[in-house]
Amino acid sequence: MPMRKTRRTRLERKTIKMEKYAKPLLRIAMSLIFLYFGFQQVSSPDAWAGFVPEFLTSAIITANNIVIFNGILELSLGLFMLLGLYTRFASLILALHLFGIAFSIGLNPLGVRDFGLSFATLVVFLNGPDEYTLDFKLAKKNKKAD
Amino acid sequence: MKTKITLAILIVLFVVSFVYFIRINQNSYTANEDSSGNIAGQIQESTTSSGTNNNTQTQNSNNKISLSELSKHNSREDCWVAYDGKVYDITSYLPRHPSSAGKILPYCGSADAFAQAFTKQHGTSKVSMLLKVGTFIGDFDVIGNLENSTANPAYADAQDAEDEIGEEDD
Repeated sequence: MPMRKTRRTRLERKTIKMEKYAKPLLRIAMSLIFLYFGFQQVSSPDAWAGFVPEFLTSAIITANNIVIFNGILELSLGLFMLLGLYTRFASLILALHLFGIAFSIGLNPLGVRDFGLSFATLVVFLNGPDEYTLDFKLAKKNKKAD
Repeated sequence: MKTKITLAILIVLFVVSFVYFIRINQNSYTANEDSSGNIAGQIQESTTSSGTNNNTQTQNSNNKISLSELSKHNSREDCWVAYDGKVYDITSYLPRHPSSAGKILPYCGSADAFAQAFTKQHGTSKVSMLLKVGTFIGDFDVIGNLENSTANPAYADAQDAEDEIGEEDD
């Protein structure tokens, strides 16, 4: 039986052309989220100190220090993800980190949102470096050099 | 591989120096504000004698906040609440409240109403969090409020009701 050729609409054809932007778009969007929250944490750690579980704090390591350290981590890995440097590593760490936060927050709107975002970050990890990442460009350059 | 590692180290160094710059800038800004005395209510930054309290709460032990002063700070942009005889500025925490800022907003500028709602919702489990996220402004002047209760209809009514109950008991 001959295959029936499906006719695509104009919108579908345009969407298919834009598919190549899906991976970088998700990666950049997710990295901007981490950069935003990372910046918030380092610029006003007092406002975030309340979220730090008490068992993590001590006389030496205060809640503020943990928040600042966490902010540095999120800013660094967010930049890694934005530039596409060690994309898989950065996205996996950020996804696991966000899973932890989501579980600690629990079942409320904020927790559910973080849970969804952590899955989106996990998708970046599964996608790996797309063609607009430094990972991809450097690998290409190394191949040419060989 | 070497290029990637170099880039990664550069990014981390950039972020650390950026954070350091922000923190230094903020500390000097706070110090300038303190020396020029521009902060409302002459709020002074305090740390414990051991220097371990990095929760930069501001306080002035002589700063007594009256109910009328407290009730002025009742908006999303300026939200003060009183809990256990202390007044806290929780404006910066409002957008971060897990179940939206709207839950706290009706209690901004209030004392008893906030304390009741807070206790009803959280019991005492989140008291330490309130102390951390709120900026300590001063002591809530309960006695002053009772003395000047005629200026505040809500308190005047409450006191009248208490007096009536007292008379009935007699």
